[in-house]
Amino acid sequence: MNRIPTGGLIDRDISIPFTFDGQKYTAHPGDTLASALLANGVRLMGRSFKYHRPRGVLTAGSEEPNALMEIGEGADRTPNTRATTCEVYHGMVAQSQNRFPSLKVDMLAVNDLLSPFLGAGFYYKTFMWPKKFWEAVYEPIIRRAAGLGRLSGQADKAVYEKAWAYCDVLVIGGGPAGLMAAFTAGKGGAKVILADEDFIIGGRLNSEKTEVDGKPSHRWAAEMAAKLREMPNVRVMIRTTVTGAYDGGTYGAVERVADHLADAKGAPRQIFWRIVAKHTILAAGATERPIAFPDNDRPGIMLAGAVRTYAHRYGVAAGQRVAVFTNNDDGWRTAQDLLALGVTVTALIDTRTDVSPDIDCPVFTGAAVVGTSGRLGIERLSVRTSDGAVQQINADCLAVSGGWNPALHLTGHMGGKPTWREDIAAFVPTPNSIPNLIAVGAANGNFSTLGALKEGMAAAKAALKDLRLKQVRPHVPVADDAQGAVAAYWHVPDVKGRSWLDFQNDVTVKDIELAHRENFRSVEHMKRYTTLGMATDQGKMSNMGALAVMAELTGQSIPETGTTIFRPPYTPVQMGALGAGGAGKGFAPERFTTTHDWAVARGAVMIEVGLWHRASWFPAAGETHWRQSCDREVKMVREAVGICDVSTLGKIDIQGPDAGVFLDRVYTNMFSTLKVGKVRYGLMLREDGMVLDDGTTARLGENHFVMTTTTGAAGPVMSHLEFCAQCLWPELDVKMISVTEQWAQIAVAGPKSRDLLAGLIGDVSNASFPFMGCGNVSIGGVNARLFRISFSGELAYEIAVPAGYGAALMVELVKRAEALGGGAYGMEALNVLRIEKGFLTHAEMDGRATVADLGMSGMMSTKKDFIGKVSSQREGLLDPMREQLVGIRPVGPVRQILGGSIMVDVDAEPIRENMQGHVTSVCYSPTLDGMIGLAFVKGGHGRIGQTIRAVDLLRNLDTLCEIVSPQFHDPEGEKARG
Amino acid sequence: MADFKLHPSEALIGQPIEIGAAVLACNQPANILSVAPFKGQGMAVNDVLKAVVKLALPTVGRVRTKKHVRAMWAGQGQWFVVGDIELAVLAQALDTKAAVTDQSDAWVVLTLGGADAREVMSRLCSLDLDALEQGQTARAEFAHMMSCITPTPEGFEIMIMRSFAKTAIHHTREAMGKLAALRAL
Amino acid sequence: MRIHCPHCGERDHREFEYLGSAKLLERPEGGDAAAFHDYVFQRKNPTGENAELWQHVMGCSAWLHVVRNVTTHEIIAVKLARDVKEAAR
Repeated sequence: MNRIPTGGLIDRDISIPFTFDGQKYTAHPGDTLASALLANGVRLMGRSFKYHRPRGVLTAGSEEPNALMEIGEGADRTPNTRATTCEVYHGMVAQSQNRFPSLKVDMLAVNDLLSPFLGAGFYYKTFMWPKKFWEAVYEPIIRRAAGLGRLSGQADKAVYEKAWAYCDVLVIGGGPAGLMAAFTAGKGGAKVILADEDFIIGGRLNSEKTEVDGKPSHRWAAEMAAKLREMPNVRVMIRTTVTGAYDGGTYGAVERVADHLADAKGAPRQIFWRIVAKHTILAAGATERPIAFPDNDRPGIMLAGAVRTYAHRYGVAAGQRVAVFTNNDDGWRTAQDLLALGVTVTALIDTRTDVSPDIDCPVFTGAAVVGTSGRLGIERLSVRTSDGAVQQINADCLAVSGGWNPALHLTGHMGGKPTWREDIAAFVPTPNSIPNLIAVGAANGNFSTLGALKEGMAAAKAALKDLRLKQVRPHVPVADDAQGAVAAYWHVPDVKGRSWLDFQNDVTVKDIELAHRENFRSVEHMKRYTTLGMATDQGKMSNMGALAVMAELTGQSIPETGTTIFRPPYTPVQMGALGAGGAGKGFAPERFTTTHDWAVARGAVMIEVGLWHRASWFPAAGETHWRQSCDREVKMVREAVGICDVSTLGKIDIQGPDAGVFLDRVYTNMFSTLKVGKVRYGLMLREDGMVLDDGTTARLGENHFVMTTTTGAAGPVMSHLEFCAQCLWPELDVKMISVTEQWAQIAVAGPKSRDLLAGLIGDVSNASFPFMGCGNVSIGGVNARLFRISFSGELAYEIAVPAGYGAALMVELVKRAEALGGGAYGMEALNVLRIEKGFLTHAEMDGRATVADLGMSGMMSTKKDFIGKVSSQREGLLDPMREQLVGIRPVGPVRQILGGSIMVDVDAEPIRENMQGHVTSVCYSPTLDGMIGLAFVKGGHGRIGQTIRAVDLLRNLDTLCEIVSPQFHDPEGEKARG
Repeated sequence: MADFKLHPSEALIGQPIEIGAAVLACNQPANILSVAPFKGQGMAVNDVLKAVVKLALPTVGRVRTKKHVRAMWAGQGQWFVVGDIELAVLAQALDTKAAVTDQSDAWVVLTLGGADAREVMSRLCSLDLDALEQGQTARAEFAHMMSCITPTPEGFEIMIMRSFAKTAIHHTREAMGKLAALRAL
Repeated sequence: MRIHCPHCGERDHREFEYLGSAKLLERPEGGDAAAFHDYVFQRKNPTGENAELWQHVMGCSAWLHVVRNVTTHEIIAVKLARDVKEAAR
């Protein structure tokens, strides 16, 4: 056991049982999985991605590249969870990943022996020949071997949530800088959000043995957090990682609400926040970087700061005999702190020659580690001393510090490039990389505690000033002001063996040298060639080392070499959080008609039409196939009377002195001449001359029209009309508002429709209510609108009542229709009825059809300008050989036509070059007792009576068809006028 | 002609739905009428409204209330007059001065109250809710649907188009449930 | 991205729909085919500032004239398209 007898921010009175790879262990509240495993003496925690090298935990934070685990079982199993941030809960089942059959005996470790053949870019070179082997052999093998954790393969049952938050000041990170910033901004009255990815506030204050204001730093942090939580204007969000910076002060953040609990009990496991901030203070701290030396990836080799974190925060000694390898003063602290805790320090190795650390352990200056040994974990290391001699040192833990990198990643999310600071040998954020974001403290390269406190406060004051809020002068706590010297040192030169840069993706110094030799020298090329920085830590551990190596090789400075671009997310985000609320009913809003419940109760089969749910058909007793229902419903309308809810069509109320003129300009045909009480069919074009939509518009009064649109185009047409009114002709006095939702509209269609309505409304004969007439009526004590329009070709009416009465009207109409031998019909029958008449839907108005293509040139008024008029007369659009709308009927032995078939000439091969058009709509017509279709055919209007083939190569159908008029039924339109 | 009478459908929410510290209810007004003044008629419209409902139209983004009638801004050049006022009365009075339509059946008026109303709203709506003060109203996106959102002393009033109302209630209930479960952790 | 609607204040871009260049305000008068060709199909493709048309569809329904830096996504100015059109007359 490596648990130090006392200390740490853990509750030693409580033990939490968990398993790792089937073995039972215990943790304490406050432990992470990594600290608990270390406490239990477990060093080996994972295998690397490519070579399956044994790996242990390297860090104590979210930048961890090695200790990735699968957490949970069954559908709950989550892969690639960093043990360093994962809080242990009661009964947690953790498994190592990327190994077979076990972590200690991994068969794929053979890859490591093959590594001379698997260097950078190996798959670009190795799997080139023979070509067909790629899909059949190589790729499946690589896919099996590659990847880290396994997905459960089951649907994620966890609950996720999305939410919005607004604040004056967003503080990212709750270390000394962030705490001081949030406190200052909060005192000044700003609305503050303090987000920290950790489960306790304090950042490195919880990891160090230091004092702030005369108290242990972790206690000062806890007291500050408590003060902040008491401020009503401050929201402290722990377990919340700000993952991305976006335009306009918008930040993405993931709050892990219940990942640390065995049972979320219905609460969201994670919440994806969109935080909109006027000012942002980036106080994300810094991440320590390793030094590359041969076999620097052995379990037990860790970052020096992480060793301190495990000691001070978790009460865990990462080893019993610890050696420290550093290029900076901060590394000394690790040795000092461990000695103070009674841990043996076997060596302090500093690469610098001009330092003389006063530490009670063997000290080597101007020295470097040149190798390590030990099975599944470090046992010894080789030190090359300043005189060149190599000395063996025993250690079961090697703490390495190569200096610190400011956590500036968010400042790159909008394309910002960082600035190199030679004095700290690190990149720092370039100011204004993100508008209204200021980086402070370690994230800004200011590594002293006092410096961080002061910078945090100053940034908050600047924000308060900009927000015109109260200026405050909080007390600046007493704290350590040591910045710590560092001398850049990236990798140990003149060594044999592999020195690892990217631990997860197995990229070594030699791989960078190879990339350089093969001329992949720009950082972006190097990254893709070697896969460096493409691991789940996104280069947090590896980028700087690789850049430095490449800089050396090219003889450039590090800033000249440049950096790759940091993109969101800062740490991996689960798809479940990003997709929160988007599953099931959350995929898109559902729209229901007022007759929906009635239709469902009647046994109607429903279909989604855009967002709407509509009745597709109403099965009658004994009907087992939709065609039986559909055919019956069509016959019912043709022979008696059918009732159909058509409320989903868009309805736009248009009023004003210029309403008529306005309609003239948006429709191809005239509406200003329409008489009050009449309805006219209209076509609307886009400005490029293509048909946008069709529908009827009724004139209810001198300055009052009601337009109908197709169901699908209701929104776009409304936007189009608003564009015309606001952007093109603001001088027109016309007002529009959607009344789609106000009116439930029900079609009453069929030869007996007049009889039906006579019993409801009274006289609706041709004399009192002619074809294309409209007017106000009263039905059952309700004010209604009646329209004599027909989408079926039969004598038909549509009745609109305020939507609250829609269901009641439907019930009444269907009851009366059934008494007349009719009944309700659905979308399938409606579609058959309109195809039989050659009426259009958006299958025909597909955005490529002109009015002429649709055979409706007569509707193009020559007396006025209208949207699309000029463009519709472009030369290409007048070509008589354009695809034109026709009807088709089978005339050969094959009696079926399939929608989407392509048209070819009778003796032509069905290939693209011979394509004559395509089939847009098909149905079985009970009226004509056979399949019919609508199709676009090149020069079709001139080919009526000719034969052509409709070919569906996917479904293997080839139908000989006759080209006919699209008006199959009652082409003279006598029935509708009857 | 038959002597039958059409009856309106029942409200989507009968008893208020209480989950955790939030309550969702339906509070349908008698009438919702849209008023869009024609060019140059703003003053004339206000004169008529003052005479008929004792209210002038509020400015952009605001609500005015007088006894049983409320006037709320509802979009560019558009207001809703809500409450005890008949279409025929207002349409006649405003005749050539404004476009008037009946929207009474087009909108379902939901209310969300309780201590957690604001937090529930933050799951459903991208508005800065703290910036929305009493007396203001916003046309805004609510769970991917168009809505009018008005703060009330108890919480929020959410007007949703009728066909979307079931979806809105579903999502609101879900958000209330998730938040209640979170609070219980 | 956040767009400041003159009616509704600053809102998330999810409430808006993008149409295209503000050139669409300048519909040619008369029936000149070449002018319409230019109006319908020809667009500048600038880096930096560009005048665009957006509609606040989930809000007040107003069409907006938005000057936006297409490189940085900074919104420089937002006006009602109606006002811009009327001012141009």
